[in-house]
Amino acid sequence: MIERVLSFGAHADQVGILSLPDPLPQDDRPALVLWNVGVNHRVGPFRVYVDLARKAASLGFVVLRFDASGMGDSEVRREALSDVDRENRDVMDALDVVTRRTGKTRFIIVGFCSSVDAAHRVSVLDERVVGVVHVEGYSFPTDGYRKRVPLKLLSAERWRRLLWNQRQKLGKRLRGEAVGGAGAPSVFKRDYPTWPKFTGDVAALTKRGVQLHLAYVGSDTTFNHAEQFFEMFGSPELDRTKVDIAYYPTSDHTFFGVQDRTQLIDRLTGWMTQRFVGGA
Amino acid sequence: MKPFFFGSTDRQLFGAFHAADEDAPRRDAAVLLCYPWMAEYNMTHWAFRKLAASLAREGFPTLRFDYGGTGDSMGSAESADVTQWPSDIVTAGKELLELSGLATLTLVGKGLGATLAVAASKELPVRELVLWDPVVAGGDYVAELDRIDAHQRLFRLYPPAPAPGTRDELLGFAVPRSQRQALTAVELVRHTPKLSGALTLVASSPSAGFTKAVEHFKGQGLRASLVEAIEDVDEAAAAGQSALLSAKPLAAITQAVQQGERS
Repeated sequence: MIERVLSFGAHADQVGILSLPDPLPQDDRPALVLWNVGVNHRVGPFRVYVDLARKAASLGFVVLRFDASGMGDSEVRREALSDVDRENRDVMDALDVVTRRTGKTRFIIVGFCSSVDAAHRVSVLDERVVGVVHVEGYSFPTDGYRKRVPLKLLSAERWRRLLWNQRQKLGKRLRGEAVGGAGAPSVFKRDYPTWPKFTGDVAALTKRGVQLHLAYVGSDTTFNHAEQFFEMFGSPELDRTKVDIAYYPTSDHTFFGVQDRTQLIDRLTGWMTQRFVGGA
Repeated sequence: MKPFFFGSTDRQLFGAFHAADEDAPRRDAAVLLCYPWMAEYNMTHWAFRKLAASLAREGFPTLRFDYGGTGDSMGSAESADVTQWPSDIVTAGKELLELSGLATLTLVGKGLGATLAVAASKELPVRELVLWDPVVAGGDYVAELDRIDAHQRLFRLYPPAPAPGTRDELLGFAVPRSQRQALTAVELVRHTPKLSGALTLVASSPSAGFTKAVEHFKGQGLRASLVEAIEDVDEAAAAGQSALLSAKPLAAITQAVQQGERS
């Protein structure tokens, strides 16, 4: 595996790291493209993207991890674009540079938490995308979800946290301090697609032949069982064979545990190999 | 800014070089930024990028880089070796001297990076040292990481960790027990810094340990001073959910670097 620094974009001021298998397999397997998760630069939370990129490269995949414009080491774009257009353009520019450098014209793109927004949009817009990964992406509360919510009461960890929070609040009250915050800062607020829009998009993607790998966790989310994803669909158009759901019931949103991340990477790279190598 | 890999083929390190602004005054020292570790590394990335760009505008060629096994540098987290990182600082310092064409360096470190910069200063032509919230005592540092780890596990709904020191993981990172021992052994005043200029300790929160360390360095005949750049606690940053913006410490660091040039 070889790694190269890439400077790209109209002003060569967008930064990425290209991981290249050595030797590079001469087949049509797609390249993997990753970018910022929240405030993290291209290494990802707990360096998960470095580990993922190197594992995928060791399995024969070209990988680009890059900083979206204005994030990490990449400069702000000079064109006047809306946030949505800028994010889309960032990803499409990254696909372009991988093609120029490696000849790869098919891509798997990965969204993780906030970057799912751009990953989903670009997967719908750009037919070069043949695989899309959402890690902690969109979910909607189905009846199956609601039925399982009471199971949270059986979680010792939730009770521990609740008691700790209550103790903190009591301590603050006794000290005469304000209790309760202002809620999440607006920077964390995102525009989710509506339920019908998302399921319609996914159905269209599968119809186009796009493979989806969707990873969900069980901690503080509105997802609590693997089948929930399919319950979200009323439409018969969804081709389930194109969708792989990975549910990690004990992981948290950013895969804090080392073992959790190992599982995530193994499952994801296993899916890539199964779906995209050897004419599968 | 020029991102690049440097170092030997078996220890490839990632660096981001900010060349001095051509219109800025010529300076005598280049600035090497030494990152902290673990969650602090990710949180500091943006602050270091801002600091490097600001110093370059002031005429200081500046390099920030990742230690082996961290960031974009080669090596896995499991193989990251704290005891090797002073050598990485030396490698990066030599690279910066070559890139800048200058003969002296100012080392700026944050957290563990500050403490390691002191150790590395013996091997480099260092003029100034600027230590931003350095790790004073490794044992206290590890105990604090254990405390935050326990809180993070509770907050993220993980079961309590076994007794500290009995597993190879800390705050979401692989930290083999050998590294835990190495971290515990870290001590700010263990090494006598070798520098021709001043040592400035920039504190973003008050600490008796910082005051003592500065007194210790003064006792060694160094021109050492403590600059308090106290910041309001950013709860999102403290929880690792946000980047450190650190306006006051960054201004204090820039001033310390500039003062070194004038003295």
